[in-house]
Order: sequence, then C-alpha cells, then structure tokens
Amino acid sequence: MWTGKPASQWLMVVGSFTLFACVAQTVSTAEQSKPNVAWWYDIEFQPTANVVHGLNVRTIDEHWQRAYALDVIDLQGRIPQDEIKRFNASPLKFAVTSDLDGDGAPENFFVGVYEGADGRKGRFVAITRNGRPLQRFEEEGSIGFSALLKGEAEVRWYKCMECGEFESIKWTGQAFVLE
Amino acid sequence: MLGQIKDSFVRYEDKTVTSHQTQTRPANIDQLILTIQREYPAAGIRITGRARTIRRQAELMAQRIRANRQEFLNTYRAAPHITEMDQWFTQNRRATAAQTSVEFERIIQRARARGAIISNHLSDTARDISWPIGTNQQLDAIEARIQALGATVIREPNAAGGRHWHVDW
Repeated sequence: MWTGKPASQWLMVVGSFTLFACVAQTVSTAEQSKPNVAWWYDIEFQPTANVVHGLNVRTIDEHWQRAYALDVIDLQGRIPQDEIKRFNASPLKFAVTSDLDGDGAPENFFVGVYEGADGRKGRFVAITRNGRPLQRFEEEGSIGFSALLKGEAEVRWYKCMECGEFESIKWTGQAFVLE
Repeated sequence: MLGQIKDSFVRYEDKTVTSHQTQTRPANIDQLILTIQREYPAAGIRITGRARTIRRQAELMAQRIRANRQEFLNTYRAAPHITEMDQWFTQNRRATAAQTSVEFERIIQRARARGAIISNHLSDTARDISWPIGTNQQLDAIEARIQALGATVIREPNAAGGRHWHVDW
C-alpha cells in the first residue's frame, strides 16, 4: 500500500540499495583479499557422540559432554574424491598404533573433536591401551581436522597436511608428553 | 578449434601475469601468497600450513610445567623467559591450566619483544604452501617471483607430512 511522501520513500529505497551494495562490496573485497587455503583449514566436525572407539567420552575426560573420533568416511562428499585419495595415500592417519613407552603392549592413538560440559570445544588426541584410556591432549578452539603420523620414538599430531608444523607425543620414561 | 582457444588463453594468461607483476612489497605474508596465487593461477597454489601461534606454544609449555616441573626445566634450555615461567609457576601453584597459559603467553610475548627465540615452530611471518603445479622452469620462476616480493622459499620435497614449500617473509 502506497502511503504518500514518494520522494522521501524513493530516497530511502535507493539509500537501502546503496547501503546493501556497499556492504556486499566490502564482504566481496574482504573475501577476495584472502589467499586460498587447503580444505583442512575449513572443514569442521561436530562432537555428537557419547562413545568414541568404544569408550564413554567421560572416561577420556570427565569434563567432556560429547566427542567425535574422526574417520575417513566423514570426508566423503565434503571434499573432492581426489583429495580423499591423497589423504589415504599419505602417511597421516586418524588413528595409529605404536608402543611408545616400550613396554611391549602397543598403545592406540586417535584424534577427534570434543565439547566440554561448559560448552568449550576443541580437538583432541587420545591414548588408550586394551580399551582403557591412558591420557589425552587437547587444543581448545577449532573443531577441525587433525591427524597422526607414526614416527620412530614419537607420534606426531598434525593439524594440516603438506606442512611442517606438528606437535610430538613422546614418552619421557614416566609419562606421555606433548611438545 | 579447441586447441586454438587453449593456446590463446595461455598466451593471454602469460601476458596478464606480466602486466600485473609489480615490485611493491606486500603488506604481509598472506598478501604475498595472494599475489602469487593471482599471478600463477595454473600452479594451484594454496596455503597448506601455518606456524604455531604464541597462544598454543604457551599452552604446551604450561601443560609441561604443570605435569612435571623438573622435566620442564630439563626440556627447555636455560633462558630468562624459562626462569620467569618457573618462578611464576612456583609462586602460583594453585593456578589453573588456563591461567598458566595466559601468563606464559605474556612471558613469551615479552621475551620475543626482547629478541629471544622461543621455538623454531613459532613465527608470524611463515606459511607453507602446496607444491606448485608446473615444470621445473615454471617452479623456478615462481620462486624467483616470491623472492622478488621479499620472501624466502625452502622447498621441502621429503617432508613427512607431505611435500610443500615453506615461505618465510
């Protein structure tokens, strides 16, 4: 319904379009001024499970509410097929087995995302043996990609591929440490 | 016909690259990578890795000292910032992990401002990028262009996490 004051209403309409165009331009410019990044910086996983790798998440960390262990199947349909092939062909895995403490009984390491009872989220790597949690390390913030690489006397925790940045899980003789 | 179109596209692309190249130093490492991506679109370059943040370094060091103080002192080479962390931790035994991380982050920032090297993983000016698609000659041209823009390139063909270029600006 037209209610009069055509000139001022036209100005408002034109003004709104101008404002919208300016905002759109700003967003567009901001997007264009960022370099392309690999998929592992964009992908996210939702911590939706109470049990991961057969373990109640609260036995891994009593403050956790939910978690999710990453699996290659979660990449299907979210990244190109050739990227999945590249991940599968790489030495990076979502779960590895290694006897880091040298006691003859191998430990299982797996990565995932968690959400605490206080709502804080992040990524984790859990260490278990015979279905019992031994230790976990976490990084609050992103609920994104991470993967493991089995080394000689360490298990590396990567949050990227084709990169040189990682954290090392080592056995000190008394405990697993992350450095 | 298709071949002709393809050839003309390649020539056009080469011409565009030349006309857009400037010697202006980019504002930061991300702008430098963006410049290279635009000038060499066929190389498929993308950022694949970033350096560790100061916050994360502080978290790791806080976790270590809280787990075992003596191990922490054995792990890190003696330096004023390590002494500072140890003193703070000793005087604040009841501090939470988060509080310790926040304080350690401040200590690291102060140490870096003094010029101390905290960790080789720590850098605000480094990125890893995907290994460019192209011939050796094209790769050399891209590397030369990155250098002309003020950065250095280390080619990492055998990196355990996958081959890449490390660009430090």
